[in-house]
Amino acid sequence: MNSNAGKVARFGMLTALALVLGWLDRAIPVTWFLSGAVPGIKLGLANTVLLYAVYLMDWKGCVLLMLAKVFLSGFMFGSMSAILYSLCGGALSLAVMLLVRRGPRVGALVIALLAAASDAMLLMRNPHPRGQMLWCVILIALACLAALAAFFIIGRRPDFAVLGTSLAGAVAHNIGQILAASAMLRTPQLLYTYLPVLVGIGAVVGCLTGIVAQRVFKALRVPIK
Amino acid sequence: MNGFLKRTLLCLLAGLLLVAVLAGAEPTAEPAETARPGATQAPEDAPKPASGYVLVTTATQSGWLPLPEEGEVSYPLRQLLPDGTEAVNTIHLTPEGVYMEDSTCEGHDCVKQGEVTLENREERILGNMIICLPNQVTLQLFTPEELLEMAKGQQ
Repeated sequence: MNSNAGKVARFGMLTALALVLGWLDRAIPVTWFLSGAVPGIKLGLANTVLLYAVYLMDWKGCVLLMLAKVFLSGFMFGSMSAILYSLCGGALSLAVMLLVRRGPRVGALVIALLAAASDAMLLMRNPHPRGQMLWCVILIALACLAALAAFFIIGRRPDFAVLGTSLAGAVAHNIGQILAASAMLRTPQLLYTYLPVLVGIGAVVGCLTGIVAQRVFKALRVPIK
Repeated sequence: MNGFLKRTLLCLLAGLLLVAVLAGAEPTAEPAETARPGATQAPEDAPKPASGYVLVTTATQSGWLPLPEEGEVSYPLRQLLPDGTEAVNTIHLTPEGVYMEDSTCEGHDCVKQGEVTLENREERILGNMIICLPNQVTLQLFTPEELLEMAKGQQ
């Protein structure tokens, strides 16, 4: 498996898988109450491939895989601006995942704090939420609790470490995208209207993909250390 | 494991309670709006301000559209994106608010975001904004008072 041919084969397989999952991400409409109200929500299944790469490959391979995923799926399904958004998101997400790989508990704790902070920010903006806002505040509170639960679970069960890495990666992806979007759209207001919402949703979705990845890793006997 | 589960559940419950308390807190009494003695009276024949103003921002420029006093207006906003494609967003203004009527982007998320009015700004997740990420267009609805505040801030 450590031969060159093995590496090339694995890299090609992961790239193909990332592209297929990227297509699946677009095909599955997240048709819940928030879709439409918030642009750009996806499940992020393609990021499970990157998660897998973070645990199995060296950082150079990870960067190459991320670039291949962003540009190939961008040229196939997206526009120029979509490529830029996902490039920023992917780069930040990968950097954070590579850092957090060694200490996934810290990642989960930081995400819990971030979600709590963004919930506080939403409540500051609108102290008496109603309608969509109320649901959003509750969702982000749940995200904060989920991240906190992940922190405790990882401490108890080291094989759940992927959960922390996935959480941190998902939220970092959203932060990178919003930074790119607020620069490209020249509206810094996005940072305090849109970002809190995406941090919460990112934490929830990151938990889901983390659980999926944990199952896959267990089945494939990927070493998580 | 039992004690651990209990602790986690307790944390969850405490958090939910905190959110419920925060979300359900009684509104504090707003201080009554008093007439400022220093404010100058507008002359009788001065043009009446519109009920709201929409800040339109694209990748290269931005501008203001006032809400019409009566009737409804559509503005097709044409622009050339940095990658060379032409993008058209049709902005629809009503006396109450603004919505994106049509867009050349793929997902039509901006159209699905519905109307922003001066009443529902506080209830929408995105507040006073309508965002079209692919075409790099944002719309923001402001009251005339907010507009004045912004103008003062820039001086």
